Amino acid sequence: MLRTVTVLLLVVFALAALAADQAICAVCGPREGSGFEPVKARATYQGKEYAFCSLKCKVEFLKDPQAFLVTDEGKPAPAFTLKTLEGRAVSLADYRGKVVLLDFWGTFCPPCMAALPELQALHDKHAQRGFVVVGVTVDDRPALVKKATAKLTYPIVQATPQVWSAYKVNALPSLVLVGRDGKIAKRFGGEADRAAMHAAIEKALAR
Amino acid sequence: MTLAALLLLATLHSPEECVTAKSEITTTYGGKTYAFRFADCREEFLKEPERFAQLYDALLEMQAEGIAVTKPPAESLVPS
Repeated sequence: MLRTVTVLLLVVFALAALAADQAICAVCGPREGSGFEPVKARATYQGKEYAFCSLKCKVEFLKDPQAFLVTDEGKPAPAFTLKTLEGRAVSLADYRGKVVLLDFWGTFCPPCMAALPELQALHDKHAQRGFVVVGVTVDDRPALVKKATAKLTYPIVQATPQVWSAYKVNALPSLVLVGRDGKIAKRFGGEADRAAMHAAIEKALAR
Repeated sequence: MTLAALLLLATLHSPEECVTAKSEITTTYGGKTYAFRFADCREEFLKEPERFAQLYDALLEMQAEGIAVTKPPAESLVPS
C-alpha cells in the first residue's frame, strides 16, 4: 500500500514538474501568439528572464533583444473580457477612468508568486484614488491558482492566448500599467523594475 | 545610416561566424573561457558580455547537438 502511494506521489510530482516547465516563447509568443510551449532554453537580459521554445529562438533573441522588447506605451490598451475562476466576466472597460495594473502571472513563476502580496498591498493602498490591480493568470491549473490567490481581494482572471498575444506578453511576470485614458502607460518586468513601477503608478494616479 | 556605419557593419563578423571551440583569441567571463575566430568578435563580446556569453553558449550547444549555426549568405550591399 505504502509503495503504491509512493509511486503515485512520484508520478504526480513528475507530471507537475513537466507541466511547470512550460512558458510563452519570447520570440514565437508575441510573433505568432503560440501560447504555452515546453521550455527548451532560457536567457537573462537586463535583469529579466526569458523562456524559449528552441535554442534557435534563444539565439535569435540574444542577437538583437531590442527587436523583441515591446514598446507600445501611449497606445490604447487592447480591450478584453475574461472570466474569473468563478466564471464572472471582467472587462477592461469595467475600469474606465481608473488606473489599472494588469499582472500577467502564473503559479509556476516564482517571482510572480513573490509579487502577489505586494500587488495586494498596492491595490489596497491606492484603491480610494481609483486604482485597481487585475491579475491575469496564464496558468491553466485552476486549483493551483485558486490556492495561490485565496487571500487576494483584487480580481483574478484567466488569460486566453488572444489576450497575451494582444498584450505581447513575452516573459513572466509582465505588468502593464493602463492609465485613466485607457492607454498603456508603462510596462514592467522583473523585480528590478519595482521602484520605477511605484513611481509610474503615482504619476498615473496624479493625472 | 552613414557610409562609415555601413562599412563597420559589413566588416563585423556575425556571432555565428565568431563562435568556435578553440582559438588563440579568448576571454574569460563568469569563470568560463570563450574562444573567438576573429579579433572583432572578442571586442563585440566585451561590450555586452552577459548577453554574448549566453548567445555563444547557445550557439556552442547547437553545434554540439548538430544543428547548423552557419550564417545565411549576406545580401550584397552593391546592387548586381
